[in-house]
Amino acid sequence: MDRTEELQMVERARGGDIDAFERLVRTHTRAVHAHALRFFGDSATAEDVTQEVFLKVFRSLRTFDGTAAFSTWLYRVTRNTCLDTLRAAKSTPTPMDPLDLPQLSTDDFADAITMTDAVELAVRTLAPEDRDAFDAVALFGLGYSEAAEILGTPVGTVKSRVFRARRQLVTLLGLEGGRS
Amino acid sequence: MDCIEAQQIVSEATDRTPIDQDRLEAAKQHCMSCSDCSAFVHGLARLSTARPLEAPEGLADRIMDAVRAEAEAAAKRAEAASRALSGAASASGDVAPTTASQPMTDFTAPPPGPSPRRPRLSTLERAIAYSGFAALLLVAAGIAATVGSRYILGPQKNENTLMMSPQMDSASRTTAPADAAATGEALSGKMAAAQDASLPRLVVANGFAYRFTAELPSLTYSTTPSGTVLSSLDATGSPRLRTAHYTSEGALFIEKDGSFYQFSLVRRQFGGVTYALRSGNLQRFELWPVWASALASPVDDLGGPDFSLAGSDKYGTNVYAPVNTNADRGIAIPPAATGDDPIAGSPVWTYWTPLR
Repeated sequence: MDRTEELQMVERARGGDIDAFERLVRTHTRAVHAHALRFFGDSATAEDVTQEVFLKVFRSLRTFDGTAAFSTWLYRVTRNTCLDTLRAAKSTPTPMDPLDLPQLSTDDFADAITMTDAVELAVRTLAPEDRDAFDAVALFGLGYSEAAEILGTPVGTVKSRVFRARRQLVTLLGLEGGRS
Repeated sequence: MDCIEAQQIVSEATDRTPIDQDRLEAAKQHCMSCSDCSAFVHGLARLSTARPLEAPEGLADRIMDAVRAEAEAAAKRAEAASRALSGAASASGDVAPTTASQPMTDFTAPPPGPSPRRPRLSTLERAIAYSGFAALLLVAAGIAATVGSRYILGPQKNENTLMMSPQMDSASRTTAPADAAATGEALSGKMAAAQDASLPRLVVANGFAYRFTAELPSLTYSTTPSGTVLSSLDATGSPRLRTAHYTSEGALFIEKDGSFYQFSLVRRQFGGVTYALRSGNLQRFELWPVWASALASPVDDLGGPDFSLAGSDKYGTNVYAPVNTNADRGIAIPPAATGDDPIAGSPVWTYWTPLR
């Protein structure tokens, strides 16, 4: 769904078209759930939080003025909901030590399912600020300036954090190769 | 241009950020001549090929169910409020009465007939009473629809709550073809030792807890590899990512050292609904489930702060439901369940969600 079509869906949803809202949900559930899963480390909490995010979006759709992309607003709601849930101590993220990351050979990555799961585990070992920046850009598709505004950091800091996350993931997963 | 700068430019290019073409070209040239940067670029390309993690099946459906329920509730509240307001408007004189004490049109007045023995309510009082009663009916209908009238009448005592549980002997297991085959295979293979409630052998796949039931020399069922499990499949080893194989009946198989470990979803029934045990990841056997819900794990016997006692099930185990919603979202089981309870012996509260 491109940005124009997405804005049309949002407008229709604001007018009470629940089918339009459903299209937005189905388009963005994956990103919201992935971020929540990386934040908390367990599926049940991630599902709960994902549902809570979209309920909040539904309730406050009228406040979305369309000046930013819907995914930008959605990322803000997702991040805030995760932080609110954490602050309320309703669920504590399960930290993951990089040392607990299983050793994987390149053969394991011939299986796409294992590759996806390994990447998800590795993302959970990132420092929270690096993971937030990485998710904003790589998962929600925000630009650096949009991510910087939501995260409250300079654009250069966002760039550095995303880069640092990628370097760490490549190293942790042993993806380097093809040295010239 | 140094390595860090070159690699960062390549990283930014991955995000489709507008980059000065001269700088990008310089970064490419650097990476082609530098083994470390070349390795990073290679790794970045492989990372980009990782398939995105899919959301759990049915999650979007559940979200939309909740959204529609909220939209419907909001519409009914608005309608009730509108009726109350229109009643208040006529009572306040917005509809001009012919006399001060006799409104010109009173559609809520009882039909002419014998005088009612009860004192007549004013129009506004009747509107409020009707809307309140209508709201009460809607709430009751909502509870009955989502939870089931059996739940309202009380928990059922004679439900078959154990399915694919290791505590069931093979004769009482359901007789789906795969289960019948599993019975024979499990008997001829190495059977799991009698379950010691103090030593759970659980793995977690997609947030659901599965209990070890048997070790089989080979896999003879039709299975679909779907997802992975991070576990050592014993009490002491290092956890490894292992491919999970599922049958259409929901059994889980994981290969270890040439044999296949069979697991069954840990389930229970309450109020006519089947619930599955949820948990954070368990990397070894002999670990109890990790509380896995956005709701707080209860801190006292009353289930507080987020749960309250909803009833008890066929094992005599107390069952707790979320305070501001209902058991349709999930239930909590207290520690120290005993006997044949699917999580007997657990020293911690556990969270279960309805199977859909």
